[in-house]
Amino acid sequence: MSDVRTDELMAVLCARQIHDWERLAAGANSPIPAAGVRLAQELWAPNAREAGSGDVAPFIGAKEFTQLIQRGKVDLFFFSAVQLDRHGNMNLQYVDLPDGRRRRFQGAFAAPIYYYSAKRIVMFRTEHTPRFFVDQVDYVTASAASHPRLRRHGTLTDIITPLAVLRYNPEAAGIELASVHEGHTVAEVQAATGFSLPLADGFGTTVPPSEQELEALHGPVYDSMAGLYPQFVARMRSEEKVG
Amino acid sequence: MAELYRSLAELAELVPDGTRLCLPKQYPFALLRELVRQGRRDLDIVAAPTGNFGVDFLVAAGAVRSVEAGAIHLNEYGFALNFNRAWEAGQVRFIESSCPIIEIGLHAGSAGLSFTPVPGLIGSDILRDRPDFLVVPDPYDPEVDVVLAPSIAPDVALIHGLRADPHGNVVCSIYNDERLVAQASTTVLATVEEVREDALDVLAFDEQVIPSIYFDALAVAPRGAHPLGAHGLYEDDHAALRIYVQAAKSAETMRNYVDRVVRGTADEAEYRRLAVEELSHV
Repeated sequence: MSDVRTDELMAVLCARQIHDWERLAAGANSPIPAAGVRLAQELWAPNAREAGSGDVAPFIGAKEFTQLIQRGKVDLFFFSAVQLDRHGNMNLQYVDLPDGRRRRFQGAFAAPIYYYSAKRIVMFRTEHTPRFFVDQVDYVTASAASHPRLRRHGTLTDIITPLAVLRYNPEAAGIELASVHEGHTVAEVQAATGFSLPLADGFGTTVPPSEQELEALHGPVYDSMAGLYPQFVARMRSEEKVG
Repeated sequence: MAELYRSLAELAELVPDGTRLCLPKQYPFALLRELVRQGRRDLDIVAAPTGNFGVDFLVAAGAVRSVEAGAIHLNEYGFALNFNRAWEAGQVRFIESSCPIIEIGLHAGSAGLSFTPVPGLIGSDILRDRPDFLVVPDPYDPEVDVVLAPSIAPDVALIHGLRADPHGNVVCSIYNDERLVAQASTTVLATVEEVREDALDVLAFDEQVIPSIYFDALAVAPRGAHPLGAHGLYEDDHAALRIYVQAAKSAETMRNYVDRVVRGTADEAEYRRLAVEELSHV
C-alpha cells in the first residue's frame, strides 16, 4: 500500500482534474478519488456534481446513469483496470497465465460503453508496476483509440499513479509521461512501466499539494468522508498527527 | 382458478429446467433455495446487470448452464469463487457482456423490439466473443459504424419486494432494476417480505411501486433475502455471508454447505431456524 503522503498527493491530483459545474462519477469503494471530488468541491468546484454521492438524489435503477453518460452528459469518469497498455487499451477481465490458462477477474462492468461515452476518462491506480502497464493487454475490454468510423464522446486522458502522471496522446494513440512526482525519477518510472514512455509536451515535476489543498483535505474533506470511509479517514488522520 | 398469492414451492414450479431466468440484485433468495430443493437444472441466467451471491449460489448448486452478466462477484468479499471454479472447469458458460448492454437489451425487450443499437464497444474483444453482435453502418449516419445486439426478453424474472398490497402491487427500492426486468420478461414472479393493506400509502424517497399487472404469481417470504439484506428492512447478515465465503473456497466444502443449508432444510421455516441457530451468530 502506498504511504499517506502519496495517497494525499493522488487525492489532490484527482481533485485537479475536476472543474466547476462538471458532472462526474467515481467507482464505488475508491476513497482516493472520492477525497479528490470533495476537495475540488471545497476549493474550486462547488457546483461539480457526483452521481451516486449523498448530495445527489439516487437514480432509478442502473440504467438511468448509463443513459446520462451514453448521451455525452458526463464530463469525467474515474476508472481503474487490471492492465493498461501503450495504446490506452484497458483490460478488466482476463489475464493470461504462464501455463496457458486464463485467469478470470469479475467482468467488464460498464467499461466497454463508458470508456467511449464519458468526455474524459481518468485512470487511477495505487500501484505503478509493469504488471499493470503492459505492452499489450491480454484482453481488450475497451479501447482508447479513435478511428473515423467510431462515434465516441471522449476518451482516456490522464493516468494517476504513486510515481507519476501519464497522459494519453490521441494523435499518437499512445501513452506518454506528463510529470514525475517529487522524490522520483524518469528512469524509475520507466523501469516500472512495461513499454517505453516518451515525454509529453510540457513534461515536468508534478506540482506538489499546496498548503491550501492540504488544509482542506485534513479539515472539511476528511470530516465529510468519515461516515462512508471510516478506515481511510482514520489512517490518514493517524499519520497526520505523527508527521 | 389459480390464486395470485401462492406458496413458495408453487412459485418455484413455474420455473422449469432450461428457463432463461432474469435476476436483479435484490435476490429472492428464499425462492432460489426452493429452486435448488426442487432440483432445478440448466438455467440460463441473465444478471441485471451484474451478479453476486444469488447467481454464485445457483451455480454452486449445479442449477445453471450459462450466465450472461456485466460482472460476477461476491460484493465486498471479492471474486465469485463458485462461479469462477465452475467456469474454469467448463461446467458453466459465461456469455460475455457489459452492464449497459444488458440494460439496453432489456430496455429493447421491454418495448417488444428484436434488437437494439449499442454505443461504444468497437475495438473491444467482447465483439470477438459475441458473434451475435453485428457492426453495421449507422443507417441514419452512414459515415460511422454502430453495434447491434439482440434484445433481451427473459422467460422468467424473479423479484424480491419489500412489501405488497393484497392486489399484488409490489414496493421495491429504486436502486436495482426490478422495474426494467418486470417490463422485459415473459413471466414475472415475486416474493415479498409481507402483504399489507396500506403497503402503498407511504413511500420512502427511494422506493417505487411495480404495478400488479406485471406479476403472474407472488409468494410471501419473510427474511426472504437472507443472507443478503432487504433495503431499509434488514442488513446483509455478514456472519452468514462469511460462512458462505469460507465454504466457497473449495468445491467439497461448498457442496457440504448446499447439502446442509438448503437440501437439508425441508422448507424456508426450517432454513430460518437453521439461520438463527447456526449461520448468524458464529
